[in-house]
Amino acid sequence: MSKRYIIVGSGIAGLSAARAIREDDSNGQIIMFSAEDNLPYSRPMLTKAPFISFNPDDWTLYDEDWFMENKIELRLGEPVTKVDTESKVVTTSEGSCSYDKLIIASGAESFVPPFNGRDKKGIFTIRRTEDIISIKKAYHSHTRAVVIGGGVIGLEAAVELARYGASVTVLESMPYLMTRQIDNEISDIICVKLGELGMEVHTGVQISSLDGDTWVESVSLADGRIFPCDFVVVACGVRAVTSMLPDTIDVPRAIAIDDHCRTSAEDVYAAGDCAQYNGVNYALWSQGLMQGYTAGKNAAGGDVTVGKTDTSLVMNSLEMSLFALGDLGKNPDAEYTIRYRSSKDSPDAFLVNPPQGEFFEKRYISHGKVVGAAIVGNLSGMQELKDKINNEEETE
Amino acid sequence: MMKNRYLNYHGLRLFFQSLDDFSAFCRKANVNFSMGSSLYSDLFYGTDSEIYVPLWASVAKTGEDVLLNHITLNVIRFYKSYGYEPVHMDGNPADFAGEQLRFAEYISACALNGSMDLPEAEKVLCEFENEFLADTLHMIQRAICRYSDDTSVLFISKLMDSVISGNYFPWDADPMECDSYNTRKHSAIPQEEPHTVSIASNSDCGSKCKLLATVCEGCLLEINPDTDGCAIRFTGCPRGRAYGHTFLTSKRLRYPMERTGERGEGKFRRISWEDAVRKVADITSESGRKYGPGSRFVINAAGVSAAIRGDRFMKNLLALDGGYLDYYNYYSAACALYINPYIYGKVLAGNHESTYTDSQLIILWGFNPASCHFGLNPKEYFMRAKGNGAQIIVIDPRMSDSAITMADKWIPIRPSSDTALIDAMAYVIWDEGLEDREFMDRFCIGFDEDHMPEGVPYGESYHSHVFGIKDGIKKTPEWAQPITGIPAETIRELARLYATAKPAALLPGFAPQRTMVGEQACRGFIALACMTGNVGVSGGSTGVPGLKEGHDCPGMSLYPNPYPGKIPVFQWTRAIDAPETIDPVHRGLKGVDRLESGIKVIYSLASGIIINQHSNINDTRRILQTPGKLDALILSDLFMTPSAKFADLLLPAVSFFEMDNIPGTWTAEDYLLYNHQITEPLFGCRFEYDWIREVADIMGLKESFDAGHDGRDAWLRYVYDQCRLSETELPDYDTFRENSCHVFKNNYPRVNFLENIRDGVPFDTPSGKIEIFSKTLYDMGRKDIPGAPGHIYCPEGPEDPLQKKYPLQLIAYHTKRRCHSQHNENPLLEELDPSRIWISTEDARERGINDGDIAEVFNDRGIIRLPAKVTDRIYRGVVAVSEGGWYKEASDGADIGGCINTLTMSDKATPLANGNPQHTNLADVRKYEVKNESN
Repeated sequence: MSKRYIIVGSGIAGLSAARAIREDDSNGQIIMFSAEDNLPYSRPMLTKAPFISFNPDDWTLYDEDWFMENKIELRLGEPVTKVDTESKVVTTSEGSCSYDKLIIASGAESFVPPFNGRDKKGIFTIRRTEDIISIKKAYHSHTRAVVIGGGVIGLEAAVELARYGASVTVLESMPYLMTRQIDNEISDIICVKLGELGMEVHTGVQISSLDGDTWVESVSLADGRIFPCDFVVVACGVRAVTSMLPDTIDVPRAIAIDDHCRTSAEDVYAAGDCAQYNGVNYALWSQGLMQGYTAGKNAAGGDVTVGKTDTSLVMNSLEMSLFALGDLGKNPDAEYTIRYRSSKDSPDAFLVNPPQGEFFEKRYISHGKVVGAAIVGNLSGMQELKDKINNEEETE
Repeated sequence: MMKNRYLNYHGLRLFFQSLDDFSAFCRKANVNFSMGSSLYSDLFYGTDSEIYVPLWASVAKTGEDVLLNHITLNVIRFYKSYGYEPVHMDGNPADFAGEQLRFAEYISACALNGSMDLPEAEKVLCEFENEFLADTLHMIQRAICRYSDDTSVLFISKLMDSVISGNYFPWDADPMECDSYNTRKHSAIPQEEPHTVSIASNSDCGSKCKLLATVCEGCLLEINPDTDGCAIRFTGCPRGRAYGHTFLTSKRLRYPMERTGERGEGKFRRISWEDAVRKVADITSESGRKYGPGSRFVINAAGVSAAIRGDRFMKNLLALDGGYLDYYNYYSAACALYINPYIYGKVLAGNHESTYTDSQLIILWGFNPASCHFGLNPKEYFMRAKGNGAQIIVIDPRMSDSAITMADKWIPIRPSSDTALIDAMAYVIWDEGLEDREFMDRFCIGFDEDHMPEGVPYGESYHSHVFGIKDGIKKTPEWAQPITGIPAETIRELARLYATAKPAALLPGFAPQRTMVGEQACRGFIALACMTGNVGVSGGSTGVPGLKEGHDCPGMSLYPNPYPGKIPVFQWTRAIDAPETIDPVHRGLKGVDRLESGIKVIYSLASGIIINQHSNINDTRRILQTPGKLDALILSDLFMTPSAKFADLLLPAVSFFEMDNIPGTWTAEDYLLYNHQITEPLFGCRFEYDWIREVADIMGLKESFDAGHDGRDAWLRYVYDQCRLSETELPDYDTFRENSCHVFKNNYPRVNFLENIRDGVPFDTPSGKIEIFSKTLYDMGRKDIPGAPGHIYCPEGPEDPLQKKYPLQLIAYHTKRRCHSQHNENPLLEELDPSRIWISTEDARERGINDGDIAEVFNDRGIIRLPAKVTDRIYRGVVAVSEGGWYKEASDGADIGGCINTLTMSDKATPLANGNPQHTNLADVRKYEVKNESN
């Protein structure tokens, strides 16, 4: 008798799981529930694609034909509201459905810290296509936007807002930008670049409130500074969507999974932004892809463990490009040697595209190996660096 | 709600349609609104050169200043699927903001009048706004608010906000009284499928390619070279592929304009075509009456290098109205054109590039075929020769792309010192007995004292010059070393190599003849080619740049000009400024003894000469801005070019995408192409012929102007048929048009002078020989025009004492990103070669300049301010800026556009041809210290 797989979520982890199941089980029934109305699309493109040419249809991953061909029943706009691992049934907005194997790939939702006034209008997060459309509608001439959060999503959104014509202020509570991935020096370079685009960046700030009548009109800091604005974009990370899960599944912060992407409940797997492995959840595309695949394979009877995923940070817009990977001096016990390279050092007669050819590269070397690195500017040397770091190559 | 929504679309559409219509609507709705018509015109018609407000989704959705792209197509498809046929308001592309609003107005009207379901209409409008309208209006808002904070502008911005946000402005108006209210919903309109059209551009490019444009609904989707459409394999180049980004842009001139500000200020007002035509007629008639026909000048133009072209039609009209001052020569090759007949007896004295595959040695002397197309793919032939074992040497002050990609050796040389290198090579060849004595004696006169024309005293031959009979200076490699900057030993090796490699092709570019001693350089190249017996030989060369013989190409012949006067093209500024100084002896005046009037009216039709391609821009500006000198500049172009800003009447022209034509293949190629129109003329743009004909009508000259050809197509057909008289294998016009291409079958190998050398046919010169020494020139009795080739002193050259003040020699180079000044504004091509001051590592170091620093190259004539490119690719003591960059004046008067002619001279010309010495300039470079300005 064929198995019934239920996949909760149609993001990259869910899709990856479905593909993996089909590789090994051509008969099993696959049902995929999605809380969103759109066909699955590439979510990173929400901020990686230019606002001006934003069109979610361009980023569709698989069209209806693909789902037909792979016999995957896609139920759009039907969120799963409850999971019962005892009776192996999920409840959705439309009814209930039993499963043999369940894969939770419910993703995450944007997190808005409990600022005073966070319920005002004009405060946006970016997680779905409607969010971009709403932000664009709120734009008008002379728009001042405040972006709270200087991580990748916040900065990508800030750059696009600036290109769209808004005056943008970025507020970051940590002492510098992207503290997990880069270091102070790279952060400073990025701040200069953002400044060239007309942006203001303030780090180490403490937000005290979002003020305004019903629509947000300014952001106040604990030190008394006030930033008037027409709207706010909050990009302070995400929280796993797990509210539909029963107690039988262990959810410390996100759903705990093992190296087979198994949860604590039998026949229930989890993958992607809703899951944490070894206590870590970076909410990365590459991780969703890998975990979804692992979960799918194992649900279909395989024995696959999660492999290494590419955890590098890449921002690549017309105005700013950044790559970072590995340890950029985060280990207080380690000793590092730092090496710099830049386009200034290698004047290249054949450089076709000089303005876009400029780059600044910083490598952290420890025990003769490149352990971390960042490039700002031309990223063509990125792959070479990735290989060096991932393969733990000795430096010459 | 839908009522309000409808009124908001309607109101804003009226605004984009016309200021008057919108003002009337406001009055009726009791809304206080008033906007100055000049503000409206500057913002929405592009009448102020400093103001740019894009109005189209194609720009809003891509961030590129492009019209009629895939976005425009998407908009049209959206319209059509809901039964809306675009009306192209005021000639705009269909994705014009006004037309988008008109569509939204149509949908909302349909919902109001019941011909469409309300929910469906709302869905359609929401989708349309999200996809196109919101971004377009946001872009316009940003732009207009940047230029003006007038209350009227803020009000319009508010109206745009209300459309996008859905908080509609409460218009107090009755929808049923609006013109569009009763529009009924139409069923979907069938859509065109993408198809390819054969095109070929009008650019002044020596390598016209047959290209295929992928077109749909008049939108350009892609351009590719046609690699299998005919017997020639067209490779295309980046420029061709990027034509859309050059020509179909939102920076196009849109409507006829008349100057309102000072000349050169770039401020205009929109006028109707009727007014414009009337004004051209009035100016033309009046100048003829007041100053005589010689006061009217149609300036050299290459923007439409094709069979039918505006400048020729204008000349024809003037010819019928008493005449005009004509010119001879052109900027590219004044000296070569002028001198060749004195030596070889004809202008077109070069060989066909295919013959160079037989060469053992190719010397590219100031010639950069990797970047400059002279003939179809000459580089391919050179590379084939290289494949056959030929050696390629590049002589150039700059390590050009040819030096990098083709050459075995790069010999850097000081600009304007070519004659010294030639003399030293001749010295070595003679000194070591490597010359082809038999060839020299049989076919040439003037090499040595034994072969001189009658009546010339001893010591005037080229040999005597080289061996210093008169001046006591032997022109040895050691003598040439400090002048040319080339080590004596390198010169020796080069001379030996050239004299012994058989056959060897010495191929100069046009660059050495665009120096102050251009004629002598041309003569020297020919002397070397003759000394080594390489003339009349396949794989050899005549020492003549380009200028080969070949097939005819359709080109308009001119009506006879009743006014006989002609000036060298380079002297047109002088002919405005000081016409009394133009004489036949020193300034090359022909046909008349003196000019009875200066130039008073200039017609500049598809030309970049006025301010950009002519030398000494600051002086030209002075002349054009001095009251009383030039009465009128009538200018037609595609863009607000540096020249266009100086126009008195500025008329918008069409690009080659908007009309059929037969591109000029430089009159010598083995093929002809036909260009098919792909889209209707944009805005109010017109091909010059169309309005010139109306001017002719007003002047009562239409019948003679037409000469039986009653339209553009008739002319094109006529001009083609004229060409068929000499090129008899050409098919009939309709077949040619259908095929879009004809490759000639009866090609001949075209080694020039083959018959003269093989069969002893006399050359078409007074002596019947190649006149290395020209008695005609000698008899002019001018020190700067010697009878023989040879090095002469070059003002602002390597030996000028002015070097103490300006120690660097400045040259221009032709860049692969442009064709003269065309494509300058194309961002895709800019990346290929951004405008920079090329400076050597040593010179930069001495001046404290690092790569990328903003630097200034300057002399007494002006300042160019650009980032420095510090590189070993340019010879020490030389700086270079690419040719064709658009002059752009900073507030302090410096040129920040990178136009070489800010620094070139116009007061002096080459001695004989009165040619433009644009590579002979002294200058210096300094680091630019950014002044600390608050804000």
